[in-house]
Amino acid sequence: MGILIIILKIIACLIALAVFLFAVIQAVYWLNIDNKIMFLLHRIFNKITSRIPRDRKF
Amino acid sequence: MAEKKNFGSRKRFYNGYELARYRKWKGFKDSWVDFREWLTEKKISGELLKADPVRAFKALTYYHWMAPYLGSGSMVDRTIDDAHGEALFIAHKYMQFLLKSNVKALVQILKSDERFGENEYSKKTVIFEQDASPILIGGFPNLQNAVEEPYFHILATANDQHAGHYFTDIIDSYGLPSDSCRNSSAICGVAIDDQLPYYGACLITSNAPCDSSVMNSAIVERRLKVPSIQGCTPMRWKDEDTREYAVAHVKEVIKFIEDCTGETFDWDAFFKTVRQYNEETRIQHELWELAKSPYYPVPSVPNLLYRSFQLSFSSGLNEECAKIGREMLEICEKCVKEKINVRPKTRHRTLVCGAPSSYYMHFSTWMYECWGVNTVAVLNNMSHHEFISEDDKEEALWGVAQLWEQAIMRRHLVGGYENLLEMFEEYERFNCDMIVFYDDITCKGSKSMTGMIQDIANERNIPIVWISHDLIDPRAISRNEMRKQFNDFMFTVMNETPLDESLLDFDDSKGW
Repeated sequence: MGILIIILKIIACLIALAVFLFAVIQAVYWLNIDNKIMFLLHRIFNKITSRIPRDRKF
Repeated sequence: MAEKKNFGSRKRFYNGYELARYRKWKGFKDSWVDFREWLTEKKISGELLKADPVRAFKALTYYHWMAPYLGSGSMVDRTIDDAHGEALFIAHKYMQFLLKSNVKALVQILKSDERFGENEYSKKTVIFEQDASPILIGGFPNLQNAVEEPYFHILATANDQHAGHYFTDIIDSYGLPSDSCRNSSAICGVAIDDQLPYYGACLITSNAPCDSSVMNSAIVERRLKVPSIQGCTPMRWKDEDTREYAVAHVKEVIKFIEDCTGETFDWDAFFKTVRQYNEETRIQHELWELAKSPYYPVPSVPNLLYRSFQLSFSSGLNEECAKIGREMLEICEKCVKEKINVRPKTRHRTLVCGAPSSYYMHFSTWMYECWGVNTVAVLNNMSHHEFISEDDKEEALWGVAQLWEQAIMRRHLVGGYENLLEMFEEYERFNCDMIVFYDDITCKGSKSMTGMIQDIANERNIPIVWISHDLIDPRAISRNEMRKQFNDFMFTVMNETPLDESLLDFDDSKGW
């Protein structure tokens, strides 16, 4: 009986975790968080690469 | 000037940006499709970092053209914005194929780049310049091809509208007039600024699409320390007298690759690639047949990008290209047969001609959403659509030469007025009722013929709108200015009212 309860608890935890992850992914999707993060990263990398001294040759 | 505030369907975007606060709700079914396919797209994009995280990070912190690829997710959103039902599924599948192929090409460039350390891939790579088809590599199964230039400015600008002019400013500062072709100017800027990856066994330069490409080849050759040959094929491709010269030149290119790499041209492998190319072309012909129907579901932008990829990057080398084409063909046949209308806002059917602006690839998406103008055919997509011989060696090489001679932008922009006038035949064939002509202000090829085309259109009573743009520099003609030109035409010539007034005049000049 005790083992059964433990198994049920584990299953409940896994379901709760899956629901939580799904909710997080949905939030990332609907709030466009992925693109917002990429936009910031893009700005940072653009700043870095435009400041690198280059060996310009015509 | 007071900043324009977004309203209506633009309200979900930040003012001045093409970056949404939240995603669009398209109803339960379509939103689920969007979400499901978005997950797949994230997985595909992640492959770029997964393949070689160290080199990817080095590239992101060294190459200025690399960071815009972080915006590929946003680009997919922009290009599928107008799609619903079957059209949405098709758009996602096309964009996923393009994402996958581009990630593969970028991974290949990064892995071969000797700037980040010596490697085994570099000497097995043959670089093709501009939009010359790499089909010959099919005959060298141990080699890989790289069609490199578009990745550094055209596709980067498609992801971030401000990516390309960083490079054109560099070449302008060296004295090149800023009204010269932005496509070639940008790659010169990349070369001058030492931002070309160091890789490759040899370089095949080309005169496609025009003499401007020949000019930029010289500057690219100086930077890349690899042997090169000019893959120049005759401009007058309809002239049978040029055939002998063209075929001889293709043979020269094959010999050059053999000499540089130590490989031997394998005819069996080459014919296998040719068969694959012909299959891709056959599918495209069937899609064009279906495009005549009002129930043709394929949205314009993914279609344009897929076909451009097929011609300039795959040409039978990418097996998935035909596979995805067949899948999409089946869906299109179903829509046409069962009369499923997934483009219900359509009020006008248009043929699009000229080189589209890289910084506003999704202009057709906006035309549909704002005015109900459905782009059913793109003239540039009809560049080379002949079949190549699958058993005769001489005929097959002639086919390769023709493929180069009729590269994208060449046949219908600088390939002579007769070819450009094909637009009026295509206009009839696809049952269009207007023509949109992208007027690249830096392309002398198309510029010289605008008056003649306008006269013919007037004689035949065909409404034609000229959308001026600067190819990769939105500071010269912004996206909003492009929209204004179209709005004026729709109000005054077509006597239409917009479907969505919030899309008439808005600012998206600041980012992505």
